Order: sequence, then structure tokens, then C-alpha cells
Amino acid sequence: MPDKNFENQVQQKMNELKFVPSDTVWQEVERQITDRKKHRRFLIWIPFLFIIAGGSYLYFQNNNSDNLTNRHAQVNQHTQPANALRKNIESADTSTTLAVEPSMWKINKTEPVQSTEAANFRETKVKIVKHPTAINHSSGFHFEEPGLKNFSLNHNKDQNTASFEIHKKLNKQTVNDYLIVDADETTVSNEDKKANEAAGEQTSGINKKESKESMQPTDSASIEDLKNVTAVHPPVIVKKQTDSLVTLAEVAKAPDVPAKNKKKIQWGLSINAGKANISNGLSGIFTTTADASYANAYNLPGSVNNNIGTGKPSSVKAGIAFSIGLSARKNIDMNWSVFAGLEYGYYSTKLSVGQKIDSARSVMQTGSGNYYNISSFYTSTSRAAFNYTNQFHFIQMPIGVERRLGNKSHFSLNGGLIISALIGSNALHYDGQKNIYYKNNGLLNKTNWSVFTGFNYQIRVNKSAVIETGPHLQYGLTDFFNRDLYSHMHLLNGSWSARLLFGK
Amino acid sequence: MASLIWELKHATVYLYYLSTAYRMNDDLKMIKDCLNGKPAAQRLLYDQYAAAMLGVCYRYTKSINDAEDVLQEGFVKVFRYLHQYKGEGELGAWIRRIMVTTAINYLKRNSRYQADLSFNDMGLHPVSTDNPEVLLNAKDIADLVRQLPPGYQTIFNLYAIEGYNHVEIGKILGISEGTSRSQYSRARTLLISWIEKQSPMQKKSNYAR
Repeated sequence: MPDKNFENQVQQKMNELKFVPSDTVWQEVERQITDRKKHRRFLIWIPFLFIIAGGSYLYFQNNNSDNLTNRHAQVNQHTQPANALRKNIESADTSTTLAVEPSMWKINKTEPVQSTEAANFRETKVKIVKHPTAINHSSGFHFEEPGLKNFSLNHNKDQNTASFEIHKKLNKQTVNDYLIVDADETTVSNEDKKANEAAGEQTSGINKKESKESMQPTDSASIEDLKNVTAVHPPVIVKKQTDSLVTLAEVAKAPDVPAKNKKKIQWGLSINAGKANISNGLSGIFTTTADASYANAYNLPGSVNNNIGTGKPSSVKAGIAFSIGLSARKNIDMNWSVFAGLEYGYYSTKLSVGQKIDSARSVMQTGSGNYYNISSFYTSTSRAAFNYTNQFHFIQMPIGVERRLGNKSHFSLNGGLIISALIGSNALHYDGQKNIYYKNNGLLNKTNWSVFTGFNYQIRVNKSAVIETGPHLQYGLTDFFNRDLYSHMHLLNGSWSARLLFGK
Repeated sequence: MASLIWELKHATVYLYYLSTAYRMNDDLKMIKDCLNGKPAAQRLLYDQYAAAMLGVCYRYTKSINDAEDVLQEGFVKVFRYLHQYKGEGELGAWIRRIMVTTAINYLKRNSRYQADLSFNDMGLHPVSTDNPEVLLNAKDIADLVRQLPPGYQTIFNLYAIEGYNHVEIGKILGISEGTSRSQYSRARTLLISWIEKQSPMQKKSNYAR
């Protein structure tokens, strides 16, 4: 062994060696560490974005259908036998006309109705029209009546007609059966009368005078005045051939009635069972034995390769995979639906290892340059002692959309994203320097994103339960192992899925 | 203009940190701030160690560009794995280990080094017992080390400068202990002969003869 005097001298000199790096080095380092942060931030926000977007969509869908169905149901209660009118409403057209007598209405100045309120009524645009009598003022203005948020009167000067746009859906036949008249002229319920009287008392004498004047508007009236005109007494819809009445106020004040055609969320169980592998490409799912790159992935980069000294790691085979959990689905329309779930996922791979030895060792972690201490390990040998199963346990949340292939088809396609969190693993990693297998869950990525697609056949069990079943393919978008230590390896899962859903 | 603003901004923040929090060269606080993502702290850490670490990278590579590539890659790893530093040893030593590992991986990956980075056992080579006085400056010695074939160069660096023993070098490079010994011996002999040729004293004595 030589004296290290020479080495000491060289070492001393080399420790003095310093160079000033160019500015581009820091700029690139800074860019990379910033990019990584941004990437992480983005990943954190993705599930929230999905939840917000999905929630908003479902909220607006529900709101929309509730507005319509509640109003229809209320009209039905007050006017005629329920079935008849419902039938009319369900076959609703978009616009029609109805004779009105504007001169009968008492009108009064109030604050103009905010245009945003109209946004609460999104369907509609049903016109209940017209009467060519007293109102001959320009442009449209709003009528407001107690309880009814908004409906508007438009006046066409040339045709000398006035039209109401009531924001609800009635069909032509239904509307033609009704007249809109002043409440005083008709038989109304006691409650409505009280409401009308109260509204009348609240108006001042001046307003009443103005009301009277406004009942017979003239061309001299200013447009500004007319824009602020609203009805004090609610007009009433009178059915022509019967005495059944319904006020628009009643329609608007209608309590929430359970919608007949409300789209409910279906709940149920989902089960997947199949095989999983970890591969650097999609082809891995079709092979039972992983290719060499998978085996090499078990080499920490600190080692040179496998053919010096100690041998090769075992090939890795696909293992059993399954998932089980809760699932929920919401129909968007006849063909499209969205679904989400919360599941436990189990994935596994198989490899051959030698005997287990309980003895402390240290293996080098290349990323940090530190050594990782292990208390036991498995030997690698060509005469394998037994098969070992790498198990990966996840909690996962699939979110996806489903498209039925035709209105009456039993077949559907689905696809979406799965975010999964690793909750445990016994996976072995290969150390090429010592030719051993050891456990270190720090080398596994804790959060994984996957895409999935599937093809389902739907079987209706009874009125409120369906089973959907079909093949399912899942591919990991994120690296399964620590990217700094392994090459790009992704989870692959081919399975058969079944989902039992309750609810119509 | 944008780059000027960027420079001014960073210079201001940098000076602020220098004048307050980091006057005491508090590595732990700097690390904490780095972990909290403070750009000024990250820049300060880089500035503290970049020059010395480029010297390390320079010894393992054949060009300054390659050395800067390794430095860049190494510092990205430093910031990525900084949470693993427990403060048990010197931060500089920890960063240096990362740089050495990164440099070795770089050599393995890079095709230019791959051809010469062979560690074939060429049989035992008698170890020279020469211990000449090294009168060359650091840069000249580093340049001589870089003239060694990459395999020799790496083993010389790991043994003579980083202080690893041949067993550890064998593990790091995936070679046998004997191969490491043999190659180191050849590297040492070569280097001593080159140093002797270039040494001013040696030149002087040769001239005197």
C-alpha cells in the first residue's frame, strides 16, 4: 500500500480548485426547480377543478329541471285535472298567443325589474299575446306581480299588439284555453284577494292616480315612465270553458314539488378483477413476463450493469389486480352520464427470489448519495427458492363519463381519470451491487394518475337496479417508481369490471 | 430589459438576505428557507457552493461544458433532495457526494465517455511507491487528471481525492476491488510521470544535469 503523501498533496490542491460557473447554469437550475413546483401545484388543483366543474354542472342541471317541473306541477294543481294538463305541458311548444285585455290592468310605477332576474328563467319564451287596444307605447316594459319574479310585456307599435313573455313552458293548446284578465274581474281564491288588496293598500294616492292614468296610456307618455310600469294586481289566467283559475302569482309561489322526471343519482358497488403489470409501454399488458427494461429498473443507477460480477435480477410477471368500492352515476341526458367512485385497489406483480436473510445491510441511494439501511433482504439466485408477490395497495377515486351507444342500446363506452394514493406495499427493489432484493417504499410514488377506458353491457335486474359489466383498461400516467432512480415505468391494468347501481 | 429587471430584482433580494438573515452564515436557516421555496435562499446556497462544486465536476469530465452540465444536474438534485439532509454532517460534503454521484452517472450515460469508461481487469499492476512533491498548481494538476483515460480518471478521483477505498469504489462502479486497485495503480503511475515532467523543480534538475 503506497504512502498517501502524494494523494494527500493532490487532494489538498484539488480542494482549492474552484471555477465560476456561467450564468446559464443557475438560470437552468432555477427553471427546473420552479417548473417542478408549478407542476406539483397544478397536480394538486386538478381534482378540485374536476369536483368544481362536475358539481357546477350537476347543480345547474338540477336547478334547470326543478324550475320547469315545479311550475308545471303547480299549474296543474290549480287549473284542471292533473293528468290532462300535465299531458299538455309535457308536449309543450315554445310559443303561442293568447288574447288579452291590457286596459283591464291596473298599473303602477315601481322600480324597474333587474334584467338579471330574468336569468332565473332559462327555458320559456312562451308568448301569451295579444291585444290591439289601449297600449300603444313604444318598446317593452316589465310587469311585476307579487310572487312572480318576472314576465315582460312587449308592445309592437306597428301592429298595435302587446305580448307577454311568461317564462314558463305551455303548449299552444293549453294557452289557447286561457285568457288573462284582471284579478278583480274573476273569481279568485281568498288568499289571492288578500294579496291583491295588500298590494293595493301599499300604493300611494298619487300612484293610484298614476295607475288610473297609466291604464289608458297615451302617446305623450315618456318611454322612461313606461319602462318602470308594473302591475299591482296580478293578472289571472282564466280557463275558457271552466271556472278553474290560476294566478301567475300562484304559479310563482309554488312550493318545491318533487319533480317527476328529476335526474337522480344512482348509487352502487363496483368491482374490477384482472391482471396488472408495471411496464414502460402499453404492450406490457399483453405480455405475461415483463421485458428487460422492467428488470433493469430494479437496478439502482449507482451500479453499472448486470453483467459485471453478480448476475441478473429476476424477470417480473403480471400479477392479480382487483378493486372494490362505491360508485355513483348521474345521467346528463339520454345517452351521456358522469360517474365517480371511491375504491380500494390492489395491484401485484410476481418475481422469483432466493431465500430471505435477516441481516443488516446498506444500499446506496443514488439520488442523495446516502446509504439506505435494511434489516433483511432476499437473495437473487438463478435457482429461485420461491415466487414473491409485490403487492401495492391503493385508495383510488375514478371520475369519468359514459356514453350509451344509442338510445335503447345496452352497450356503452366509458373513460376517465383515476387518482390513487398508495397506502401500503411490500414491493422488493433490486440492488445490482449486492445482488439482493430489499424493501423501500420510498422508491414508490405515493400519488398516481391513471386514465381508463371500458366497454359495458347493461343488464336491468329490476325497476331500480342495473348491472353494467365489461372489459376495463387502465394505464398509469405518472411514473410508478421514483423517476430519479428508475426509468419511466407505468402501471397497466386489464380487468373485467362489474357495477351494480340502484336508482332509476 | 427584462433580464436587467430580473437581475436587479434578484440582486435586491439577495442583498437583503445577505445583510440580515444570512450574515451569520446560518446553513440551517438557509436550508429551511430553501425548503420553503424562497428563491433568494436557493440562490445563496448555489452561490456558496457552485464554484467549489464546479471544481469537483471539472475533475470528472473532459470539458468545462460537460462539467457545467453535471453541476446543473447536481444542483437540481440538491434542491430536490434537500429535505433528506439531516444536518448531521457538513452541507458542503453532502452536496459534494451528490455531485460525485451525478458525475459518475453522467459518464455512464454519455456515449462520449462510454467507450473509454471500461474497467476491464488488465491484471495486477505493481503499485508505485513514488511520492513526489507536487509543485503544480491546482488547475494544472486537474488538467493532468483529466488527461487520464476516463476509467483511470474516475478511479483516481474517487480514491485519491474523495477518499473512497477500493471496496467502496468497486460498489459504486460495479467492479471488483482488484480491478479498482489495478486501474488506480496505473493511473497513479501515469500521473506521477506527467507531474514530474511538468514540475518546475523537476525541469530545473533535468536542466542542471
